Amino acid sequence: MIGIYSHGRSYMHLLDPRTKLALMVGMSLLIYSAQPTALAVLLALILLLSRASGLPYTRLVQGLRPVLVFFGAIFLTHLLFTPGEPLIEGLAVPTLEGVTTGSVLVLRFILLILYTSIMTYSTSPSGLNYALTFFLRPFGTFGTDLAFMTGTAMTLIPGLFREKDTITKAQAARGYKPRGMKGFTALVVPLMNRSLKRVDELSDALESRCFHSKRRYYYYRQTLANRDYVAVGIYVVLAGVVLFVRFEAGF
Amino acid sequence: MIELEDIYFSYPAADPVLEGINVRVDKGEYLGIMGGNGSGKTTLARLMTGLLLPGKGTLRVNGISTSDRSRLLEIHKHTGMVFQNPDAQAIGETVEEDLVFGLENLGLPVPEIDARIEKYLDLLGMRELRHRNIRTLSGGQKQLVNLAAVMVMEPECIILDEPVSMVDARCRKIILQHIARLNHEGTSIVHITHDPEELIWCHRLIVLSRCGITNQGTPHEVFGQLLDEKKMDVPVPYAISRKLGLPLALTTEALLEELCRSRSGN
Repeated sequence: MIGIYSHGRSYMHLLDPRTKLALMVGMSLLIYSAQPTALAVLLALILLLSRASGLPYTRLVQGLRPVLVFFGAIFLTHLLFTPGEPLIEGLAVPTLEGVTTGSVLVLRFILLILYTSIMTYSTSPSGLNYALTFFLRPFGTFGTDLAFMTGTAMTLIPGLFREKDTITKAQAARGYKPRGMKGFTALVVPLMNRSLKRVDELSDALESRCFHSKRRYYYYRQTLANRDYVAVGIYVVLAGVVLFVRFEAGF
Repeated sequence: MIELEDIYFSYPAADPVLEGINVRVDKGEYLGIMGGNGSGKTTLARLMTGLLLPGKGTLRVNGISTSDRSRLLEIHKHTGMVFQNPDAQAIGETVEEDLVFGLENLGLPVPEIDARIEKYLDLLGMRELRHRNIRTLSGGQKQLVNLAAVMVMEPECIILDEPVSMVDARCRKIILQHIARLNHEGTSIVHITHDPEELIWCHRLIVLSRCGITNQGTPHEVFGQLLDEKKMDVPVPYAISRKLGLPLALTTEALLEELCRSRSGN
């Protein structure tokens, strides 16, 4: 789901890309510092934002599928290596602390991915490039290049998933059943090949359409509107609540 | 417009793809380049747009040599390229974004960008696709978007690398009509394909085989040579009309007309 943009006129779509990018950084910090209760509030907010962007919940959740293994590994690592009160008598692991720490960390990653999915669903790559260029402007040409590379890399992500699907289906059609490390290599090698080819094609397409590092993004330039200030205001209030819960209330 | 003199090109650690190529594309000309797989057609197209640089020889676009790397951007402005694979060319996520990308690179003002997008989307009958995600379009629509993305930049010469090889018959006809119209309006066209049927409207035709040019001339001349040499396919109406001793016809319509005329004459 990350990197898949859909044109629309929702509240999230109409927000200035710079506001959305700044809020993404802010939300990441909040998610990182939030405790379980605050994380639940943030989850509710993200679900609201999903509704506000017109992104169906089913599609939002589908975006988590490719990283489920990663989440499993994180949870398992914490479950087995966090010292604390044993869950099963006589065994040092798993521990209650392991379950709590693992769950909170996985939930943080989930929230990050969900929020990024909403952001990329409602922000066109050109808008994203414009916002990145705006914030990286102090770094001159390096900043512009970095902004373009980041924005373009984001647009390549869905293509990678599609390529992965094509390869696995082609292998399955020829009776191949991936097993262990050999199966992993059988997927990664052709995927790398195709990705490099795609990058090569993209570089030709960019060059033939007169791309140059001094280019500017101006067609999708917006001026900050009331809705941007409202969004920032909501964020400030939310950040205050989360930080209060963490440092004052202590839960 | 484009001049290639004694061009030699080879990819790293490989046999030469092109050797001793001399080609000239004049302003307003419709040049067809035909050849089998591996004959170097795509390499030649990429050389003509400055995406590849020749190993030996001179390549000039509007008098600008590709050896002057600081002026490659100018060459890209003079020549646009439509790639064979429609997915390879898309840069933007939506049709509008894809068209805007090239126009922003040219530094055009926003009203001019809007005017051009509307003009070319209308011209290609794609107004309703403006905000559609390119990935959700059919192969033919994607290729039309690619054509539009090049057309909006209004280059003097458009190089088309097998533009209809991945689309259905209906889209193929539409795209070929647009190409012919573009040329009629003064844009130079270099149309590369392995299918002779696509090249019946070109002014001049070149046949490439391993490394070099084997035939060149008007479509009538070249198809005649190819039939004599039995080297490559030629348009079916052409082969039939020649076999029957009728005036040479390149299209089915022209052939039918000649057949009707010969019958009524008898």
